[in-house]
Amino acid sequence: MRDNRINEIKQDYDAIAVPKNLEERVKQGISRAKEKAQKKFYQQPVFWAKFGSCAVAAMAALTLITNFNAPIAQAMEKIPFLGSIVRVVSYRTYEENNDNMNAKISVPEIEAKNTSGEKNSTASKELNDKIKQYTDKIMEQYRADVKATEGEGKEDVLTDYKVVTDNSRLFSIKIETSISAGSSDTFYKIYHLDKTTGKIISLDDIFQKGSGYCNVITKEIKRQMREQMAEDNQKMYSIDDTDMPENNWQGITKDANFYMNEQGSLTFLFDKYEAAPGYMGTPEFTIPQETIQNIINPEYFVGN
Amino acid sequence: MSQNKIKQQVEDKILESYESMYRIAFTYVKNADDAMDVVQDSAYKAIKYAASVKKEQYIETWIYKIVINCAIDFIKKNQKEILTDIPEELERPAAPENEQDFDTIGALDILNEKERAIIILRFFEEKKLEEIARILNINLSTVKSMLYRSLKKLKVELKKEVFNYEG
Repeated sequence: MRDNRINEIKQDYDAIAVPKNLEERVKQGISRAKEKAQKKFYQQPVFWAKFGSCAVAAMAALTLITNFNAPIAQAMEKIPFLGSIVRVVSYRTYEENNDNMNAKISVPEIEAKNTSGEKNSTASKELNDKIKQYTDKIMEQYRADVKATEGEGKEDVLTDYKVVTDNSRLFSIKIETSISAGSSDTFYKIYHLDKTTGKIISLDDIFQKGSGYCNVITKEIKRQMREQMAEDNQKMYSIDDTDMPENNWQGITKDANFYMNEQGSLTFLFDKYEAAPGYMGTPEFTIPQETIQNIINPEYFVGN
Repeated sequence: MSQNKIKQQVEDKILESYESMYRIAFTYVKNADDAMDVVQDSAYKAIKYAASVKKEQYIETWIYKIVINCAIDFIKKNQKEILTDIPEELERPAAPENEQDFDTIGALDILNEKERAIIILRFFEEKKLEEIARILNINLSTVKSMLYRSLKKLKVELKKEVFNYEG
């Protein structure tokens, strides 16, 4: 006994023809989500066990420092300065092809030299090994996908690298991977070598211990996201969604991908889907110096 | 409930209800290609975030919630493009499959996005008011008053049955 008008609309609604390939598209969406869940493990940096929260990470670092302060200080003195010569000297490309599945993974080889011109093989090896471990995981995952689909799937995996910071203090190299299988995904891992110590560093190192930098940066990035959305209604970030709060971006963690841009400003690079719908691509956010100047270790903040 | 089990149940439910998902999406985006994109994206999100479904009985609610949110997100982000795309749209010959007279569905355009969702869910998908409240994250009395307001906008003569009908 519903109203006629509603019934009329309902008839047209029921008559909406469902396209033949809808089922296939739905299944693609489902398998994509499952793949992504599986892939999570190799997107995590291999070396750093995930602590889960910034606070725990900072505490762990503090404990280490207090326990081993003296030996660390001694070790630091012994490390020769690398100077400014860190570069990519060559790369290898690993390629595998199946019917509709291809992987092309370029792995850079880095060489670090001390100011005297002498090769620092410890520093180079540590960085190269770490990158290789990471890219190996990507290749393994590709092979697992080939196996799982018996080579009948559709997948293109492309991994490449780019030096994103090369100033007097830091050498940062970005490993970029894009995977297309139905829809596409892009994710990054940036490695940083401290040229003065020859050590691989992380976000924790460039901030003062216990400074709560994750919260400060998260707040600033959210501010920029809101500002962009207010200025341009085509921009969208996964924050402040009260309908589906579980989809919201959870904020910066100590494993976040960052680099120093040419002005020496700290810049964060997001994976596709990390904090925005796919059409937003891989957004970047530069943190103004005044926002973080009280909590940084200033020696890392130098321009090119 | 284990995560894998819930994921499997969400998947089953999607495969069971993707035609409804499509019709809902189509009512918002009004063309087959975009509606399919919205459904695929919804399926992706529903599985990806399946862990946040706490109870089995809410799986369907969850899927409807996602598809409505995705459809609304889609039209929001395309609002500008649609306006500027009109000349091209006129040139493009309509695919035979999409040739359908949707004038009556177009009548829903006078409603805002949430009101439209309420009409679709209540009358076309025959959901209970309590379920609609959960899908749209609004309380029951708000659903009732929005339903009343929407029907008024659609110039539908109100009948008592509308509110008592339990599907």
